[in-house]
Amino acid sequence: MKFSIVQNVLWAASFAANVALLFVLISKRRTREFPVFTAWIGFLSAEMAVLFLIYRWGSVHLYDLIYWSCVVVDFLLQLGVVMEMARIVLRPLEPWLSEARDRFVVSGLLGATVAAGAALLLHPDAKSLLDVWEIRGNLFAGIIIVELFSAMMGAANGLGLQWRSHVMGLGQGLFVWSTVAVLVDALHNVLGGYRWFTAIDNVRVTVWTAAAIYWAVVFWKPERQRNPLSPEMEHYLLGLHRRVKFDLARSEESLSRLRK
Amino acid sequence: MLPAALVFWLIIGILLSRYLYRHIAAWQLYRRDWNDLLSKLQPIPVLAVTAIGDEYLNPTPHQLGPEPVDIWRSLGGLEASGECGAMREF
Repeated sequence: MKFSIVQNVLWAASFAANVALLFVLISKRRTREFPVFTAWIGFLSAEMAVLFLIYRWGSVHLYDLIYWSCVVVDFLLQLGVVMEMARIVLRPLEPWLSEARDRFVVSGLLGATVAAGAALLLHPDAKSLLDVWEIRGNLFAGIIIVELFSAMMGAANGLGLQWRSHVMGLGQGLFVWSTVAVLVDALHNVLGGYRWFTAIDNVRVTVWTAAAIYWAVVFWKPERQRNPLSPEMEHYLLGLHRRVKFDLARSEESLSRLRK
Repeated sequence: MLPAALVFWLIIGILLSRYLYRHIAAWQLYRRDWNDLLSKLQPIPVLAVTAIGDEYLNPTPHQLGPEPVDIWRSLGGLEASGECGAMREF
């Protein structure tokens, strides 16, 4: 198992970006609102460090064992991050908005079916059956994340729910990264495990590093405050309120006169 | 193989296009402020409110009352709800 200089540099860069992001999340106390996202970044940082140590001084068998165990945990944490965003965006008040929750669940189930169909449609060209299922599994997981996140955005947009700046920043980074991840996995599915596999995979790592840096900047800044009403609009609203109150009083007066 | 690959890319294309559309809609909604929202307020026709209120307050025997859909239409609600639907996907 040999990695090229480019891969080593990209690995080191993404590790540094993850550690910097983790530092920002903890030092700025974003963990309270985004515990799962923080856990995901912490897990990725630890995973990279452990895999690097095993790569340098451990065995191939141990590397494979840890790598495959981490793939499952990574996927579960990604699902958790989407659910965390759904909790923040679709639950502006304490209880879940039932309409939003129903739409989210139905779209999520449909998305899982589509993801399974797309992943099984082609048979990627790879060295072993395990590699074939790795390529398919990555695409399946990528589409599930995209579909769930898409469903969550659809539910929030349908109800006109507005996002706050931190969750919007997280969403933007996740959107770019997951789109690239699905495209990379789709290309792997079509091209198989030989042609340009490493070069295409490097794009995913580069985009991840950029996303992690972007998140570090977003979470470093405080939550954006909404602009107050403009004086003209405030004047208009106060006038409207006075007029509605006057009309209502007049209607009530007429009604009581009629009843007499 | 080729038709399967075409179907595959079609599915991926549709998924990612919808994903992009929803993301842009969420971003546009995020950029909105109170002024944008309140500038969408429109007056309700007083005559229509009076007519509906009159039918409710002074019912005649064997009167066929207006259906909810007629009430919404006369108040501009159906058109407004259509606009809301469009606005939802900002």
